[in-house]
Amino acid sequence: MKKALFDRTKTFLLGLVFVLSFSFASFAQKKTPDVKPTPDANLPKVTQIDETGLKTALKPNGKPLLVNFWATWCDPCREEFPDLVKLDAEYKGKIDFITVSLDDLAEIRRDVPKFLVSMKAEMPAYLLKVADESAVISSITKDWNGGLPFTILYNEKGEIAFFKQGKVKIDALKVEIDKLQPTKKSDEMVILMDFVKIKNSKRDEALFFYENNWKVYREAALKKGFIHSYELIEARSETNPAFDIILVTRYKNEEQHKNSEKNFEPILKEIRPNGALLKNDLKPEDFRQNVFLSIGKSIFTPENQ
Amino acid sequence: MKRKSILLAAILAAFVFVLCPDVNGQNFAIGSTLENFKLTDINGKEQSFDSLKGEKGTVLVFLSAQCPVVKGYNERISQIAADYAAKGINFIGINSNATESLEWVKTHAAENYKFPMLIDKGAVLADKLGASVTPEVYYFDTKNVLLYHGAIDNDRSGKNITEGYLKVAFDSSLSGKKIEKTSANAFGCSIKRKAE
Repeated sequence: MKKALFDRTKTFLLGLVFVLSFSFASFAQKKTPDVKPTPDANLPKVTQIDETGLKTALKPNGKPLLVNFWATWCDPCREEFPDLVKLDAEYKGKIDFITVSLDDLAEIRRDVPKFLVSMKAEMPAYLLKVADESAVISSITKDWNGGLPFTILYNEKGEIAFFKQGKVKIDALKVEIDKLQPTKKSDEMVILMDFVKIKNSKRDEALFFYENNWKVYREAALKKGFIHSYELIEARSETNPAFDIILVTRYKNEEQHKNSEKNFEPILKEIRPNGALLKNDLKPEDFRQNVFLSIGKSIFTPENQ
Repeated sequence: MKRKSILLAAILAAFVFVLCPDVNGQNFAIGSTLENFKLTDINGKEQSFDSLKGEKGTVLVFLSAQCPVVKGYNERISQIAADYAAKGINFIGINSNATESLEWVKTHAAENYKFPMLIDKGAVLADKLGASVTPEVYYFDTKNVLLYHGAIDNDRSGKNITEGYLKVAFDSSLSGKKIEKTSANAFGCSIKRKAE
């Protein structure tokens, strides 16, 4: 009798727990979408965008553009995010990087910014809400089936340079980004060529002048690391040449070239405080004329050098 | 000599093209015919596509035991599968995720689906078809010709469905009409082909 009563009570209590749990679950499920998110000033801003907004966001602004489509519900998206944050810091200024969340709109002030703040993500963040997702996916590239995460890299012209559906290999992505970086002008050698015409057949005076001044300055500059190298070339021509001498100064890079005036000034003052050394009374304008100055760059050189 | 080399290269390229498997499934377009294949189901029994086919058509649906998008679709998939099984279209679930254990897949399938669930070890079938997302469906007619590929409908939440792509494809083919929209994409979880 007691056992029967115990069994009935047990059944009743179990049933009650079940009903209450179910009611609570249903209540929570129904209520969730209606809960108005509380704006938190400390959370990063996530901007809602539609098809038009996405189109605008995907236009590069003079730099390569990296876009990561993700969602808080996507495990691999969350897993790769720390690496993407590091990449953003590493390439800041070299590329633009935005993230586009595919979370439910209700998460725009909740899980999405909370996740971004936990990741210390500084990339501009968007949440995409569109009526026709299929059209949006196809508009990005026909090779994307909609799987997340999806990372796409555009060059500065807006052409697709790389994309990956699924977790991206950061090293591979870096290689692709590096390919889009402009050739650093500062790494290119700058060659300054001064074309000189010898006047009045005063070759000796001219060569003396360059050997005892131009060359001496360049030797000093070379020792100080202000130039890469120098060379004086005498041109030989039978008939009325436009120039007789080419004074070549090679600078390691654009920065070295830019600083040349600043670097040479103290050298000139130190070596020839009273002005250039001359062979005789003839002034430079009596034996030479600077015809024109040209700045060039090396296209190719012998492979072994 | 040069002409011979070019000819040889062309023949070699054609040979490679014919023999190499289409790992990305880019060539498995609408209208392609699927050859019969065999995979093991979640109970360890080998099943063939031909033995599981429906009288009026068959759907291969790539699923995941963990993907939240699949979870959001489970009820709809189950309902559509039941509705159209009665009309002769069978569903076959495929799990190609290398990261999901058999136990997870088994439990998830038992809780949600009444149709068979096959394990696509090494994602061989996914590679053949080019499947990359879950959920992703491939709808074949009785001759195994692909009629529709892609999303089930246009709303993950299920609250604002305005395009029931798969159902429309079913209804069109069952009534002998041309399927207007033969493919549609949707956001989902990427199929994890190998443990990352």
